[in-house]
Amino acid sequence: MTEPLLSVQDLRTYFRTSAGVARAVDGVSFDIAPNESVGVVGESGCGKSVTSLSLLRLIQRPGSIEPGSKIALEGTDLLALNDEAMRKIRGNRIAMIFQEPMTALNPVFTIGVQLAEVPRVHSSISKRDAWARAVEMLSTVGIPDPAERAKSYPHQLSGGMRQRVMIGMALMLSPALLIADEPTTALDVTIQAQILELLEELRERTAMSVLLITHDLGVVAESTSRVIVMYAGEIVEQAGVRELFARPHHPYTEGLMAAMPRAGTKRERLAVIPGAVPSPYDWPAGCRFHERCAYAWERCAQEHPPLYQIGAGHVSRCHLAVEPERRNTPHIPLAARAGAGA
Amino acid sequence: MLVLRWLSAAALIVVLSVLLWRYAHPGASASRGRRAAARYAEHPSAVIALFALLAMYVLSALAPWLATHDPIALLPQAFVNHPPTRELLFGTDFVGRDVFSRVLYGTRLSLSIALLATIVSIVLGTTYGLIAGFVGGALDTAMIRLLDAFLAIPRIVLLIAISALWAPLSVTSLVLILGLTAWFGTSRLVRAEVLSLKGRDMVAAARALGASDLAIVRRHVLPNVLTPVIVSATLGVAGVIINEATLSFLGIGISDPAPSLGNIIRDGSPFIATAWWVALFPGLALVITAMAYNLAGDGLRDALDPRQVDR
Amino acid sequence: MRRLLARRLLQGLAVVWIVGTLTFTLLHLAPGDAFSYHDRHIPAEVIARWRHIYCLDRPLVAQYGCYLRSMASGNLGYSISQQRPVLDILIDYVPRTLELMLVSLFFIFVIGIRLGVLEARHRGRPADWGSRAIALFFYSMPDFWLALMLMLVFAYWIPVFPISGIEDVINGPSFNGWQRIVDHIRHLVLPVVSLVLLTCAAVARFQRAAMLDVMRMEFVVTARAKGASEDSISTHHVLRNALLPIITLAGLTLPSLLSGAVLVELVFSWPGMGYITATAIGNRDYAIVMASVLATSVLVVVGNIAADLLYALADPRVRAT
Repeated sequence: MTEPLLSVQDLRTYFRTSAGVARAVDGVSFDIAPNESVGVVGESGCGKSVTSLSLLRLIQRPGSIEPGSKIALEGTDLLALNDEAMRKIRGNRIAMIFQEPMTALNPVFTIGVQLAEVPRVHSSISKRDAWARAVEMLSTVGIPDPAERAKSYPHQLSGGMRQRVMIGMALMLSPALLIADEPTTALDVTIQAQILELLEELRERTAMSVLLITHDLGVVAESTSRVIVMYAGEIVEQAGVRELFARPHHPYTEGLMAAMPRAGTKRERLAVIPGAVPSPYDWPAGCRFHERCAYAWERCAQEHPPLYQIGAGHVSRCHLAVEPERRNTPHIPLAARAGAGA
Repeated sequence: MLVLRWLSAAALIVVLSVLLWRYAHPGASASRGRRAAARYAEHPSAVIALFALLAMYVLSALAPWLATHDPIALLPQAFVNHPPTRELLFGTDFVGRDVFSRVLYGTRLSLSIALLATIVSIVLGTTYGLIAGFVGGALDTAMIRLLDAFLAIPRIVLLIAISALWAPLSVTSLVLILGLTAWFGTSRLVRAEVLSLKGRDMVAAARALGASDLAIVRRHVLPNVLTPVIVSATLGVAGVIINEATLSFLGIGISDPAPSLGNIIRDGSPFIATAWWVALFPGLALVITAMAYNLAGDGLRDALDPRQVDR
Repeated sequence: MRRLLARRLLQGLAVVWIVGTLTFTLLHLAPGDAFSYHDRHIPAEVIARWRHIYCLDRPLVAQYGCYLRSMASGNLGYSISQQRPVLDILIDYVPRTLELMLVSLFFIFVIGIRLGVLEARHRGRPADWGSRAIALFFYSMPDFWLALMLMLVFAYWIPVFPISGIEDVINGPSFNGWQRIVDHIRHLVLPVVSLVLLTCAAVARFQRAAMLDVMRMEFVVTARAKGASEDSISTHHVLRNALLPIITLAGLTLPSLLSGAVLVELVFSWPGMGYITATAIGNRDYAIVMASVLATSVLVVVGNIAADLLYALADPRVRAT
C-alpha cells in the first residue's frame, strides 16, 4: 500500500456560539491516495464544506478544530504547524476552488493580477515572470486570447470562464491536492460538463489528487473513483464509485439515489427522503438517520453505529450490516408519521 | 438637607435601573419588545449608557430640588471667577454665579430641548420620506433634489442663517428650528425603506386585496420603518444637543441669564486661561450625554436588527 | 465617464439654485425686513446698492429673478460691517478656510483609514475597543469645546502653540521667508488638530465597518486559500475594496467639516469664512451670512462631484459606464 497523500483521522470541527455548540464535523476519517479523485456527497448541512475548509485550516471564529483531530499531508501533521508554515501549504501543496466564482474573485483586481499573485506569494518570482505564467495558465485552462483576457476584470467574464480562472489560480503551483467545493453547482449543465472535463484532463496531466465536494450524485458518478457519503457531520458510507452505485448499503445513500430523477424510468412521483437534516447543535441519539429511515428498529434509536466493513473498500455506518434481515421489513419512517414535527 | 436630597435622587435612579434591568431579562415566552430589550442588555456599554442617561435625566429633572445655589443669583464680588471649592463644586463664572447649579439647570434645559426637537425632526422626516417614497415619480425626484440642497448646506451655517434672521429666539422657536434642521437623514432612511418595501410582494398583495394606500402605509410600511427611525433618532439626539449648545455658544440660542450648557461655555471662553473650570464642566456634561446617546443608539441598532452579524 | 460628469454638474447646479432660492425665501420670510434701516444706521449709498441688487421696489417674483441674476453674476451683496462687496470679502477669506479644510481632510483620511484598518484587523481585542472608545469620546464632543480645551492645554498651560490668529503680529513683519512658513504652520496646528480629532473618529468608525463588511466576502477566503498572509489580505485585498465607500464618505463629511470649521475658526480667530460668518451675526450683516450659506453649499457640491469622479475611476465596475 502506498502511503496516502492525505490522511484525516477523527476530524472534529465545532462552532461554539451563544446558542450552544454546533458539531458541524463530528469524527470524520478518510484517506486520499496520490493521483486519486475522491467525491464527497451529502445534503446541505451535512458538514462537507466545513470538512474541506478544515483541511486548509480556513475555519474562523467561532469555529475551531478540536484537539484530537489529525490531518496529515504526506506524513506532516497540518494541525501542528504554526500559521506561517500553514500559509505556505495553501495554494502551494493544497489548493481550493469555490462554488461561486463571481464572489470568490476580487472584483477590483484583474484576473491576471489575481493569478500572478499565487507564485508571487510563495516565491520571489518577478512581476513579469509571474504575469507570463498567469497568461500561460489561462491558455492551459482553455481561455481564448489569454494575453488580452488577463487584463480583464471578473465581472467582464462569463460564469464558466470565471470558474476556469479559479481552477487556473488553484493550479498555478501544481498542488498535490485540489479541493473543489461545489465547483459546478452555480453553472449551466453544458458548462458543468466542460469544467468537469477540464478538471479531469488537468488532473491526469499533473498527477494531482482531487477532493470533489458536491450534492450532485451525477457529478460524482462522472468524475470520481471513490465516494464518501456524509450525513449529520459523519461519514455514513464510503466505497468505490461503481460499487456504491451498484450496491448502495446505507439507507441514506439509497434515498439519495432514489431521489435522483433519471430519464428512461417509469416513475410517477419522485422518491423523497422524509423529514429534514437535524440541527448540528443537537444531533439525535443513536443513529443520526434513524428518524428518517424506513428500516430503523429499537437498536437504531439507542446505539450509535460504527463504520461496519461491508465489502472490499466499502464501509457503512448502519446496523443493517449485522442484521441484514431487517431490510425485508420496511416501514414508514418516524419523521413521516402523522403528528411528527414539522 | 441637600445631601439627603441627593441620596434620595440616587435611590430613585437605582430603583428605576433595577426595574429596567428586570424588564430586559424576561422569562421564556417574552414579547418582541422584551426580547429586543434582552438583546440590548447583552452589550455592557449600551447598558451603562442607558443608566447614565437615566441618571442625567432624573438628576436634571430634579434640578430645582438638588441645586446648591440659585443658578442666576450673583454671589458677592469676592467670588467672581472663583475656582472650585466644597461649596462651589464647579467654581463660579465671571459675574459670580455658581457653575454647578448652572450646569444642573443647563443640562435640564439642553436635554429637554434636544428631546423635543428630535421628536419634531422624526415626525417631519418620516412624513417627508413616506411621501417621497410612496408617491414616487416626479414628486419624488423633486423632493430628493430639495433634500440634497438641504444636506449640502453645513448644519451650523444653516442654523446661523435662520437664527440670525429670527433673533432673538424663544425656546419654542429654538426647538422648532433645531427640529427643522435635523430631519434630513431620517427622511432619507424612511424613503429608502419605503422604496424597498414598495417592491416587495406583500404590498402588491395588499393592493390586490383592495387595501387603500393609507392602510398599506399604516399596516405594512410604518412598522418596518420604525426600527431604523428609532436608531437614527437616538443617534440624532446627540447631534441636536451639540447643535443647541453651539447656537447658545454663538449667542443665538438660549441667552443670558437662563443657563444652557452652551452659553455657560460662552461665558467661560474669554477667561479660559484663568477660569478654565467654567468652560470645562458644561463641556464634560455635553460629552457624556452625547457619548451615552451614541452608545445607546448603537446598542439599539444591534438589538432591533438581529440579522446583524456580531462585530 | 463624461456623461457621468455632465450629469453630476447638472445636478450640482440644480442644488445650488435651490440653495439660492432658499436664502431668498429666508430673507423674505424673516420677521422685520432684512433690508430695513429704521433701527440701524445704514449709509445712503448702501441702501441704493441694495435697491439695485435686490430690486427692492419691484414685485416679489421680479425680486426673485433679480436676486438670481445677481448671484449668478457674482454680485453677492454688500457688507455693511466691512463696507465692501461681499464677493471681495469671500475672495479674501475663503482661501484661508480652504487651506484649513484641505490640510485637515488629508490628515483625517490618512489617520482615519489607518485606524479603521487596524481596528478591523484586531476586532474584538483590546486594541479595537480601546481605539473605538477613544474615538467615541472625541466624536461626541462639541467642536468649540474641543478647540477651547486644546487651546487651554497647548497654548496656555504648555505654551507650545500660539493662541490664535494666523501669524505672529508682533514679530511677523521681521520674519524671513522660512520663519514665516514655520510661523504659519505653528498657527495652523491647533485648528487642524481640533478638526482632525473630531472627524477622523467618524471616518475610522466607518472604515472599520466597511472593512468588516468586505472581510466577510468570499474572495477573502479565496485569498487566504491561496496562501496570502493576513497582513496582505487586510491592506491589499480588503482595503482596496473598502476604500470605495470611503471616497463617497469623503464627500459626505464636507458639510460637517465646514460646520466645524466655523466654530474652530471663531475660537482660534483664524481669518476664514467661518470666522466672518460667526462675527457677522453680531453685526446683523445678513449679506455675509447668506453669501456664506451659498458659498459653503457650492464647496460641498464641488467636493461631492470630485468624490463621485474619484469613485468612478477607482471602481472598475463603474469605470466602464
